[in-house]
Amino acid sequence: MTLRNTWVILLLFSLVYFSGCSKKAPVDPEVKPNPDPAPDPDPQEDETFYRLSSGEIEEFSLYVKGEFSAEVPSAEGQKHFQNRPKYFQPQTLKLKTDSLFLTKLGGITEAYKIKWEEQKLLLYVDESKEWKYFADKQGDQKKLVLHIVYYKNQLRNIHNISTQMGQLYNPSSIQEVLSDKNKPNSEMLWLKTKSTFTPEKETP
Amino acid sequence: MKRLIPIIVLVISVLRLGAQEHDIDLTFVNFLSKSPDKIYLGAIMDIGSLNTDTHPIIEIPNRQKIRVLQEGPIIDVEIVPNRKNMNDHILNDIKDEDFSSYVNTFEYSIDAYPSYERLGPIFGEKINAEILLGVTKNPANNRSITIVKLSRLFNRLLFEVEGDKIKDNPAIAGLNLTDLMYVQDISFGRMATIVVESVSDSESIKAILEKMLGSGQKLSEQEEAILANSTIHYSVFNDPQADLGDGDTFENVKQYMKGIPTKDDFLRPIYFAGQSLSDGGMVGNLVK
Repeated sequence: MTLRNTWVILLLFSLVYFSGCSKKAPVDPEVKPNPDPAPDPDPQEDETFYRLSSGEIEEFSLYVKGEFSAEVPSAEGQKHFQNRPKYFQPQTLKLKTDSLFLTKLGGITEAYKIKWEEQKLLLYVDESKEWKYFADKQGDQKKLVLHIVYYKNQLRNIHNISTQMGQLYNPSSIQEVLSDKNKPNSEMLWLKTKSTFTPEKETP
Repeated sequence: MKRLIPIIVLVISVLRLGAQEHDIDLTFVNFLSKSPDKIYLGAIMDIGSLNTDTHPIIEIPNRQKIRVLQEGPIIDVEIVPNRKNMNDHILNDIKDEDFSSYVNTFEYSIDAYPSYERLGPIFGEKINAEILLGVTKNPANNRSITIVKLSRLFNRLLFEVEGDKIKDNPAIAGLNLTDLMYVQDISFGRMATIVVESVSDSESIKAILEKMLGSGQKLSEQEEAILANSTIHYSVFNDPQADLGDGDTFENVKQYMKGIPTKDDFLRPIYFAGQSLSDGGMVGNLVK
């Protein structure tokens, strides 16, 4: 096939494409709870409402090739993660029988099926069909403690550079976000926070 | 100098056509170079390697010269096809270029995809998301995948295959010509992607990304919260020395794309197209 023939084919493709295009008006973002929307809890039923009462950094580290390399000054958190912790951090938790309802700044809400294993609160993850360890009751059983990890993983491969940014509730280790294939090329910032939630009377 | 000629726009439009029709198989003619340090104009490749993790070159000794074509003023240049000769030609061609006069802009497109296995249309070939994008696992089913592709192409080289006598080369005798292609067309420049995995739907994410890349409107608090609750993968292709730096990675990728070009940008293969050794037809790659 000659270059001229190629031109003609590409021109035809383009005409078909452009004639079939129309701009869609942007749609206002809508937040969807994860996993599926659950009905609002019935206020008549037994429920406990918790509000975030304190937070602290438990670990801020650099892992190179999957191994601990250095501590990172906590003052650098803002530089690397900007407003991620602000908006991912749950502000309130509402526990009702076998459900958990989370609220965050910016109007984000999440809903989960839950169960207790002694002091441990577990979430049901629909996709993996597994229960995931989420938070702990503190000694006096009146407070809940939640760990969150914010990560920034830079991979420098032979041709490409990739940076992955995300966060997890209570991960067991960095292996949850680092594959064996990517480990040799990885530099991972790992910011682990501890949040304490105190029960109180729910206010609108 | 070299503003891209319309054919590039047309080829990219074919790629975009595929990007919006995920449920049908489409044939693509421009492929992301997965071995940018090896590829050169006139190189011979196995067509079957297009969808593998690398693009090995089949080196054939004693090649005859090929005539180089490019946009801009007509040139009369013939080179023996190899990496050094191609780069020497490019460097000679841009030796008087004033890079500071280039407009600091880039092209981008935003599309939604059902999974990382279905990203072929963006790249013109099947890709390994773990290698190319740093993705360690597929997101949960309820999460949308929205991808921004940013590109900035600076130059393009082609050659006239007709008249090349490679079929007479003894080194090619044992190979099946129907499996082989010439690298007949290479576009050089910069390319990056930004992938957002979110529990919000793709239309919402597209609207947010459009604000960040296009209109420059300030995000609402809810939009900032949606992004902060997402997982985001940033990738820069074929430039292992690129520095995404500290701070806001989204802004850093934009600045990388907009930065004043260097000679390396003219030597960095991004896309290429091929021509069959057996019948001279343009090589198409069927991907989902």
